Amino acid sequence: MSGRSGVGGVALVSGAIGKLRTLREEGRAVGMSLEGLRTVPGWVVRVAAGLAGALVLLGAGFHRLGPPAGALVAWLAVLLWAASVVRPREGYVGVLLLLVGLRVLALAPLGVLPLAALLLVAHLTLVLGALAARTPAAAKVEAAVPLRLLRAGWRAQVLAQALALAAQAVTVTSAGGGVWRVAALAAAVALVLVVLPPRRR
Amino acid sequence: MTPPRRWHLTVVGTTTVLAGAVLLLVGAFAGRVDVAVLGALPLLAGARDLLGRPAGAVDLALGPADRPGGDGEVRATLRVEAPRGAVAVLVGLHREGLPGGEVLLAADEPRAVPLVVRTVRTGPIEVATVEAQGVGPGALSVSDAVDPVTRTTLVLPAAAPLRDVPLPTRLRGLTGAHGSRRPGEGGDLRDVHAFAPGDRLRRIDWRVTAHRSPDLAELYVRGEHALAEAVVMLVVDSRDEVGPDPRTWAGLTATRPDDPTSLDVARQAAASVARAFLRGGDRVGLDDLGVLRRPLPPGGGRGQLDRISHALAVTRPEGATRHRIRSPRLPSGALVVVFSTFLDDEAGRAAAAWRQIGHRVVAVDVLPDLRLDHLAGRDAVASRLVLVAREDQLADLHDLGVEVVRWQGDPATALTALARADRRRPGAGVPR
Repeated sequence: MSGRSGVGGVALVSGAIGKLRTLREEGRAVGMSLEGLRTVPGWVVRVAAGLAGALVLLGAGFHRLGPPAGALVAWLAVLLWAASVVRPREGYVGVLLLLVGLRVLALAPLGVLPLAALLLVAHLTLVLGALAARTPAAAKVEAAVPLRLLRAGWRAQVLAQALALAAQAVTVTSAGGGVWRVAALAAAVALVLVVLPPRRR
Repeated sequence: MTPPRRWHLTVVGTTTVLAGAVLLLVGAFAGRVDVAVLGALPLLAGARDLLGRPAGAVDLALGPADRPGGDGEVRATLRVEAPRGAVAVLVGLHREGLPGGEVLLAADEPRAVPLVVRTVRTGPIEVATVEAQGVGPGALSVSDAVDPVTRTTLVLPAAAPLRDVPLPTRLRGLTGAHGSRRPGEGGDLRDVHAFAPGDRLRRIDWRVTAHRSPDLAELYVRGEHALAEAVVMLVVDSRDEVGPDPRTWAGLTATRPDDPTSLDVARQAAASVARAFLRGGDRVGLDDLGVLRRPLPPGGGRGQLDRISHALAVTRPEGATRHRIRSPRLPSGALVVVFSTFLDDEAGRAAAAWRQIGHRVVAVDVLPDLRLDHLAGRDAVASRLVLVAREDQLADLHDLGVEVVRWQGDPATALTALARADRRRPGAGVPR
């Protein structure tokens, strides 16, 4: 009896191995390539996006959060970061940036230099995360694409840095912040209305 | 009427913009400039991507494929043109439904990128199916997917070099590359005999004459064998095209495009044999067991090799297989080379019939190396039964005098072994 069950087990295992081999065979890519391109693997883009995201988390001080509630938030941030690396198409990078902003809100106001650095790495995370979302891990990315994206994003980065400097100067010199609060509200509503037409994956 | 929008914000773009808006508002109402600016950055990026998104569609074209060389590479040119403002185009390559890779191409200018497809298949093949999607200026917006473009081409079989090939039982004509048994000129020494009417004066062997008849009472001439050519009929069995995986033989699932089928092996084998004979000055014809149409009659020269290669390339299973009542008629004395998988008995029956009426018949087994290790249960048993029946049929053919060669590994050696059996006497292929 035990012999028969042993034979059955071997058959089951060999059947499973056969099915796995079949799946591997069926999923194998056929041999074709585009020539004459300088490319990097898609996973490199994901790793780069992950590194930038980790820098943002460090810059926002998640590693300094103490237990117990702080540790929970830190773990949530790490989870979001991992999700943004593994499933970049799902838009976790936006949620991660939101969490980073909320974390900064809980800290004392950032100085000029820390804010400038955080803006820089947050922008890098956003650009690389958006690129990773369009790049399957097994795909190849022409090296010119990330360079073009970074080059094209410098205006937004400079604008954000200038905005940060100006806003900090205004808050330091002016007594009341009511005016810029209304301006921020109007800008946010206008941008959201302009930017959010029907979305598509 | 406004044209349909072709570019849209992605999920990443949407969540990023929403997160930015929330942060901007929270920062504004909390009086935190740093938080508000952190929110303004994604909003700016999203606004830039959406307002600067391209208006048109991505143009995609796949140019005609070059004829492949002997390395099995097919080349075509992929042309991609993205509208102004697009940063990249994601190009997806497929072949016969299987993935071939994805590349994110920079799209700042019209691109012409060489596409190289490595194929082991011959005949009419799909070079590639290409899909594309444009990526907006900040990678936060994308275009609708472009309609896929497909390109097919005809791949001629590449002939492998063969060292030596067997000859038919009878040779024809008075010219060619093979020595015949008939008296004539150009072949090996046949005999030395006394001069007789009809002998040419330049055939007189003065050395022998001086030795045998010093007084010149008798003149001796050297007799030679005539030269002759072989007539070879290649018979390809195109009724079935099976791959290495027996589960595809029922036709429910396609053979992978990087697996050679039996017809690919048959095309290559037939082209190789044809080239070997045609280079030797012989005449080669082609017939197909799978179709009822006029065969390509035996001929010689480079043009005949081109005709055979093209005819082989367009050979493929056509409709329901027809049962032949009698085997195709072939030129008398021709060497018959049958290329088949011998999975049913029709090709074997035809080979046996040709052998019985005196042709020398070589059966070339073109079944590719099978992958059986992943089969289990009924699939394994069915494959085993089919293969046992096939082995029996090949053994029967061997008993009938049909020489069986398997076209795997080094078929040139097997053909050379068959050819060496001819050399015991001139002018004969099979000394039986």
